[in-house]
Parts: sequence; C-alpha cells; structure tokens
Amino acid sequence: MKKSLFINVAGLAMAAAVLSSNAVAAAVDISSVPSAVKLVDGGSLTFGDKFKNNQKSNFFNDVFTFDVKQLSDFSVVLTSQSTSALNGLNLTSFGMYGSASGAQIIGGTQELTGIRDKWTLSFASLAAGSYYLKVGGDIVSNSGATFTANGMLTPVISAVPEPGTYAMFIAGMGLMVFSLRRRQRRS
Amino acid sequence: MTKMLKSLLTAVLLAAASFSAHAAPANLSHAPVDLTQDLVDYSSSDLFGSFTLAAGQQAGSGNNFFSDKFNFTLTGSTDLVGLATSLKPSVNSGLTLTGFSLNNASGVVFRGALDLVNYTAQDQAWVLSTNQTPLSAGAYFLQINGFVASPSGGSYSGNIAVSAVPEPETYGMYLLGLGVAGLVLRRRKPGA
Repeated sequence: MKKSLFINVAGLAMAAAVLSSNAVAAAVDISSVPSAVKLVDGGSLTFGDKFKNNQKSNFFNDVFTFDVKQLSDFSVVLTSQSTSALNGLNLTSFGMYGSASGAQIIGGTQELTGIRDKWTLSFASLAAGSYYLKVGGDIVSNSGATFTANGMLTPVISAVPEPGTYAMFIAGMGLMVFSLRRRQRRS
Repeated sequence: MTKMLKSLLTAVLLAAASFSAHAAPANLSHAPVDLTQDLVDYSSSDLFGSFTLAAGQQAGSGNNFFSDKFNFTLTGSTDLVGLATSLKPSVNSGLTLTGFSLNNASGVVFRGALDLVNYTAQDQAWVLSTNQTPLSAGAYFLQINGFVASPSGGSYSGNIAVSAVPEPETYGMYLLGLGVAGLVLRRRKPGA
C-alpha cells in the first residue's frame, strides 16, 4: 500500500515535470546589445551572432552599426546553416536603416529558408553617414544556432574631375600654347 | 671594360634573385581557432576571416594564399554541417575560396563543394555535410583555403552546426529498459 502510494506520487511528479517542460512558455526577446559591423581596411566586412541551447521559440532583432565615410556601394550576404529544418534558427527579416532617422533605407531579399537561410542586401551609392543593419529571427528548437554575414563597402570612384584636375588641364594647355608660340617665333 | 660588364651582370643577377624572392606567395593564414566549447554551448559556431594585404604583398593566386583552421573535439556520434561564403562581385574582387574540408589527423574526412544550386558564383558558398554517416568521437578540424584576389582584401563568413546522433547502444538500452519495466509489471499483477 505504502509502496503503491509512493509509485503514484512519483508518477504524478513525473507527469508534472513533463507537462511543465511541454508548456508553451511566452517567447522571450533574446536580442543581443547592438554591436559594430567588423569593417576592415579595404572595405570588406563581417558580422554575426550565436544563440545558446534551450531557447526554443525565443526571438531576436539584432542591430549592427556601421559608418560610411564617403559615397560607397554596399552589399552583404547573410546566412545560417542548420543540421535540419527542425532546428537552428529562422531568419525572418533583414534591413538597413539610417541611424539618425531610424527609417528603413532598404530591405533585404530572402533567398533561402529552412535548413539553409540566406538573405542578400545591396545598395548602390550610399551617402556618407551612420547606418545600422537589423537581423530578425527566431530559434526553431532547443539546440543553439548561429548566423553570420560578410560583405563589402566599396568607395564609388567619382567620374567628375575635381577642381584641382581642371587647374592642371588649364595649366597644361597654357604651356602648350606657350611652346607653340615660341616655336613659331623661331621659325 | 670586362670588369664593368661583370659588375653589370652581377647586378642583373642580384635584381633577378630579389625579384624571385619577392614572388614567393605570402601566407596570410590566421592562427587556428578552437570551436569545441561553442559546439557544446551553441550547438554551432561561426567561421570568420578577414584579410588585407600588407605593403609589398600582391593580390592573385600565385602571390598569396590562406589556409585557416578551426579545431574541435567531439565526445559522441554527431551530425555536422558547414557553410562558408564570401561575396565576390567580379573575378578580381574580394577573396577566392578554393576549398572547404573537414579533416582529422589521418587526412580529409569530408570534402566540401561549391553550392551552385542555392547560391551563385558571386556568393561562393562552400557547403559540407556528414549526411548519413555521422562523425564518431574524436578530434577534427575544418579548413578553409583560398587567396586574396583584390588589392583591397576581403572577408569570408559561415557557420557549422552539430546535432548528436543516438548510438546503437543507446537504442539497446531503451529496449532493455522497456523489457525490464514490462517484466516488473507482469510480476506485480498476480500479487495484486
């Protein structure tokens, strides 16, 4: 009798444990604090984030900031690979925003979802200023996950000559005229 | 006269020697990174590499190379997938990734391949997967090979992800446990 009571209690406790682990917990915002895009000399860039195990259904909106010093072309590819579509993370949004206004400048394009997530984003002739990229997504299962990105920020070479160049043109032309005149006078 | 010719010749030879010494490809590889703890905590890890050319180093396949290593140790049977990508808008921009492989002490275990189905030549995505043959416990390393194709350098990014695969012994234990439970129940019934 005592033994069966013990077994019953144990069974109940186990059932409760199973129930609580199955209970749908409210999704938690697990966004990381905004960080800077790693921008190296020459203009190539990387960024990314990792999420620990046991965060099923939690979501994130990670912010990565960067500064543009001169008119530049910007392009980036964002990926996350999982062992199956039933785990890893799901990237649901990607966009570029102006830091001052907070307004979206351009949205990314979702190219793959599931076992591989892939988004691309590009913007030609981005003016100097401060910007940020926002990556939104959620965690599919209780196994952790990682997303990463790489890209380029390439200065646009201006086709319009600078004032100094015009001055050189004029100086050169002057010299030519001068030498021609001298030659003509000699002959 | 001949003396002058001689000195001229040695000068030319010296110049040629210094030229050929300069042409030895520069090794731009990063120091190996250990991912073991990441694979435990995050079931995954990131792969990053950024490259810039120092003064005197030249872009192009004959002029420089890198071979970055990412080490890790597995404690049980594991499925593993990996992806490495680098944007390359044109032939002479960014990096050229030439290989992505999973290795152990005795050599290559899985060779990655360029994924041109899901990606474009401009994305340069290399993928590898252990698929139906999980890795056994042990020490491994991923290797990403390539060269800097543009004087302004470039970066790659990617990640690996792992998931544990129950070993046959585990299933055996399950069955054994079930059998024992059944036996206990049977024995209890007549007594009750």
